[in-house]
Amino acid sequence: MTDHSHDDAQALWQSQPRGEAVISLEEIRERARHLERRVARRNLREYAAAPFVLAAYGLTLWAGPSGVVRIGAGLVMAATIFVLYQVRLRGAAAPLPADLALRSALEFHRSQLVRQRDLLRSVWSWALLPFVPGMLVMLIGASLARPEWIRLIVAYAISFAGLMIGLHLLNRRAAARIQHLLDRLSERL
Amino acid sequence: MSDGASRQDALYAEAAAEYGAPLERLARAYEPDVDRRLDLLQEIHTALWRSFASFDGRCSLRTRVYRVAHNVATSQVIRRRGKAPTLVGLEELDSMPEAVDREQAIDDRRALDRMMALIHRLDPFDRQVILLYLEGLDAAAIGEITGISAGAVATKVHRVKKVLKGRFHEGHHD
Repeated sequence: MTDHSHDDAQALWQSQPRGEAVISLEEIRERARHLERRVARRNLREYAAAPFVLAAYGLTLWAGPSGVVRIGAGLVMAATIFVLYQVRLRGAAAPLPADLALRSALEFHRSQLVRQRDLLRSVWSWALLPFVPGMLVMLIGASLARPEWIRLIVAYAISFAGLMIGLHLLNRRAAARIQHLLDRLSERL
Repeated sequence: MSDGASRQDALYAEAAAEYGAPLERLARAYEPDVDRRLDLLQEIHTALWRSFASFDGRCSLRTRVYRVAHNVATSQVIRRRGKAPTLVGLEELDSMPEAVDREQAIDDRRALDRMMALIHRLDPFDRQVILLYLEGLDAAAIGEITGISAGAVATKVHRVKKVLKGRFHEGHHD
């Protein structure tokens, strides 16, 4: 073992032969265009369910069995539009994060993790909670208008509550995993 | 073609010519699979080209290239964390038993393979430090690229040397 062992390691590392990979500028441009198309499709998918939800509740708004049910359907439609707006406001996917080259690796990854954690932590308030008033009003309206359907309505209410709680717990668990990564990052630096 | 686009292309061409080889080594260090490695290398080059659309010269070309490359590569490691073997820091690696017999490291190729295997096991931030160190960057430059304080970089570089000495050089005979 010589005193220059680390220099040897550096020399050995840098002596690696280059591969065959030659990437032309045209290939890079095509890849960038492909990436933009893929991101555009992904962003479109975020909104894909909205027309169906709006059409279904629009039908209920138009021909619901009672005024209360129709108000509930209107609230669900308003919640859908609100959530779409929030998705757009909170940042649709971009081909590349804007700060990729501006921030150091540590800042970049910490900011990416914090952003993901905060988004997951807040999902209940902007993506789940807005649907609750409309659904409650619809269920109350339906049970008043069609008392004979009460079992079906209760089953629907339980399923809806289960879905909301399940989604909330999944998001909380994912946020906790990211927080663990952030804690580990802070401990080690 | 506009002035902005031609400047972007020119900056990219300069970076690709100067840092093409280090970027290939970086891709090898992040991705053992050959096909995925080529994909990662293309992703890095694409991100680099795109980043030059807004290059204002606030940092050097070298810092820019390494920041983009490591950020893209680390994002890939983090995305695939669930599918990959558990990644460890230099501290844990230093205290772990070796998986490969020292006697196997009898030539440069094997020594390099062992070094690469060691790097593949490191978590993203220690991997960045060891790769930048192996590329010959000093502590200040490593700190600028990674965002780690100068003191922490010095400590990590010290550990890098210790790990390389313990795991690589004692079995590597010239």
